[in-house]
Amino acid sequence: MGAKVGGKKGGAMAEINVTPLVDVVLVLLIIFMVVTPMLSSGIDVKLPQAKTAEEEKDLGQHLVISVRNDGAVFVDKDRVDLETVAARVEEIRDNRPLLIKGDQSVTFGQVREVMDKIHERVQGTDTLLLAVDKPKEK
Amino acid sequence: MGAKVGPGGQGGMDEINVTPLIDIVLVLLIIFMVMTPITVEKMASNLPPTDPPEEPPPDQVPPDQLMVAIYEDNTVALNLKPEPTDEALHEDVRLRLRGKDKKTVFVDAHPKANYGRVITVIDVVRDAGADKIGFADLKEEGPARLPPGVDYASLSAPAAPAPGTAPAP
Repeated sequence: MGAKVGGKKGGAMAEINVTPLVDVVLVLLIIFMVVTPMLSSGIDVKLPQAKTAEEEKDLGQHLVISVRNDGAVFVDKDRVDLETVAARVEEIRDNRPLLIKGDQSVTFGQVREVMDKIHERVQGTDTLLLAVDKPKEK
Repeated sequence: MGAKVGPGGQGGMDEINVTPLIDIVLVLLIIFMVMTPITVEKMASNLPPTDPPEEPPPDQVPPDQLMVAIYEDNTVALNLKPEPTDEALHEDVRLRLRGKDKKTVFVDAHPKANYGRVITVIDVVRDAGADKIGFADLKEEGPARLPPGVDYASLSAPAAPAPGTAPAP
């Protein structure tokens, strides 16, 4: 009987209580699942779809200029107007490539005017990048 | 002895083996941590020079240059030839780019054309082999159109005699 008790005790000590560990890990998992879609640069717009686009990791290397579906223009996350967008871009660009995120429902003219304003004032903007979404596999 | 085996078996059934569960959850966690720097998809496009040198008249497209026009009603024409479908545009662009060194295609869109539509057209053109996309100057009245009543076929085949002038026997 003595031997039996010793064996039982040893068994109990060998196991770590994993319930809190699982709790913490699950919470972390949920946090990541929630935060992941909110991390993209710039503001959230509904991008047009294109299948020929090049894919690149978004590590914040672009300066993002967004045109929202109501025509409002944003540099990074700050609202600007058409007259000040170029000055703002010039101020905070820091040699980053420019990425234009236009909502798919705006007119071409709205996006193009922003591009032209930037191109007129900021050096090295002959080539601009247009953000798109890859179509989902059907 | 039989009684002993029973309780022992039940004790084992009490606890769920959580180790594989933790394994899976940790792996999922690591997958999400790695994927968090999300990807952006993008296309490069070129703008015309700010003060362009001597511009040719807007409706004269050099024959070896590809100009895709997108009109206010989101219809498309390649060098003034109306393209009823994206497939037709794809095929025409592909044929005209074949064997060219500089696979540049210009896009001339009406300011009121839908931006999503412009991107779709650029996508089609790039898929057809274009490696450089340039935007033409933005014009208030949009890209040039065929004059009303003129058929593209009659433009492209000027050598064919008009029906009225055909010699009658």
